[in-house]
Amino acid sequence: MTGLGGEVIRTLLGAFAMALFPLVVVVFLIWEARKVIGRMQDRLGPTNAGTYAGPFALFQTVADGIKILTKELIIPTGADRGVFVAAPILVVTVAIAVWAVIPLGPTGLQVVDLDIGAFYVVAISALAPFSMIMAGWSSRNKYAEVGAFRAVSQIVGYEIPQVLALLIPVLLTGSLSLQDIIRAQDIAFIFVVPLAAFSFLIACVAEVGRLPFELAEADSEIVAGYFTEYSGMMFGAFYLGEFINNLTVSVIFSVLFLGGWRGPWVDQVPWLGAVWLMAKALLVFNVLVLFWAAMPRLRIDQVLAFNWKFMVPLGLVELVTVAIADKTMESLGVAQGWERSAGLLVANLVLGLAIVGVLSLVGREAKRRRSFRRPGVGAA
Amino acid sequence: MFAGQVVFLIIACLMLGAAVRVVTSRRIFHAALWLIGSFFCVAVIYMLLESPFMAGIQLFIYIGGIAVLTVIAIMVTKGGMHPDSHTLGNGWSAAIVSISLFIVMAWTITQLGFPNEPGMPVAEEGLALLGAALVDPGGYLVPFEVVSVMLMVVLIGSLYLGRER
Repeated sequence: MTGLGGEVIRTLLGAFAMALFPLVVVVFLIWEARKVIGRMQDRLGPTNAGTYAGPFALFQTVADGIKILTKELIIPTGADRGVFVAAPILVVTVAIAVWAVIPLGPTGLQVVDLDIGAFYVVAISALAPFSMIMAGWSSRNKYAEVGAFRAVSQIVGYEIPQVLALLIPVLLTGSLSLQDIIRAQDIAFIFVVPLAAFSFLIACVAEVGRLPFELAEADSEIVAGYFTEYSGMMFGAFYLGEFINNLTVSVIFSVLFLGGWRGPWVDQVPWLGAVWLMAKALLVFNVLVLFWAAMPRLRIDQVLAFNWKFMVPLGLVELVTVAIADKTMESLGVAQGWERSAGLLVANLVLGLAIVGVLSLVGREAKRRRSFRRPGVGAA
Repeated sequence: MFAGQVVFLIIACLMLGAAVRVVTSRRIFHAALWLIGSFFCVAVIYMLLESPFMAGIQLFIYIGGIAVLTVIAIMVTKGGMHPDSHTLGNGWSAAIVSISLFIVMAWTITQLGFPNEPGMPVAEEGLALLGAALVDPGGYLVPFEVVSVMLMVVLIGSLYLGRER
């Protein structure tokens, strides 16, 4: 195969492999998450006792997948059929489309290195709330509708701090290409701008609706949220899409702040980059799983107030601070290397201390006002 | 080139079909969804024109911003999310406004005159050029800042309107 035809076929095969990759990885991530949560809750998690699920019940998810395929697809009476069926398709499509720009290795192990890679991730994620709105609206179920309302207000809100935090690696690199961002991380950005990494992680947890931000599908309040009415493989699509999104944000966090595929011996063996990237992503994913196992669920007003009154101002202040610190150091002649990183880290730490100070002052003030207004309550 | 034309025709037909459905859908929520489909097709056309940044902007601003706002407006309007809510039957005035707007735009576009070259080479650092032009004092710095001031005014105005009194 030579020329254009060969190239087209190679691109298509690459895209197909890249689309399959998260699906395959997620099958084992679901098993891993269930095991970890089981251990956290003093259970064993899935085991192979009395089943054919393989060693350590490794293929439990495969068995679950086969079972779910045999279930009936129920479309409720009065549901809007077209929109109802389109919603789960859109969920998985959007979740996989992001993987087109994720660089698994230095060269070749990427479908396309867009020069707007980071922006592409944000733009594609903008489609995600619509699958939830479509599912919630078309089900004609009040729990589904409440779930959709919550999902939209939460995702639209937390998109802002997420994008603001994402701008900081872009600002330090001077490029939107994910490959360039990785190449610029001689020191992983989490050690250079820890505050940005922190707010990006929080915003991502909220964006994928993992506890403590699991409001859109809070099962003790609104059954299963926007996908209450779904059954069989359509339910499976939502479940799968959710886990792919968890993996995706872990990978993107690793790319932006943990150095992506960088690691020892990658220069000699390029495919090792994929191993490093997935190891880092697994680390971040497990942080999400630990949140999941350990955190209580917040109220929707707390979640939204936290976003608009804390995360958004934090993102703005962080962006301005990093920009000013970077430019100041550049004018002082420190534009490269570890000195620049150290300077940015100091700026970040000072900002972090200032934020903690302001928060404790505000908290003390609020407490004082409360006890003043209701004598005897706050003082206890 | 031929394959590109076929893809363009298919996308353009899908886009126009979606746009027609926006107008003819009886449920306002369906109209909003078709609008998103139409926006998405525009983004695909930007991709065909080898301008991924414009495609991303199209997705981010129009679908992530305007369409979300539209849907939120429908959601918070009383009865807007009800499956049987119909669009308002004020078709004639809307038709007159949109047809006259279409005539004005079509006339403007035909007046422009397009270059006949099959396609200009894309600048290597197009994105950097765009960014530099926006914040360069010799470029579009003043309009850019004026727009940001206007957005600030809008933000404060909406806060004032939404304030609890």
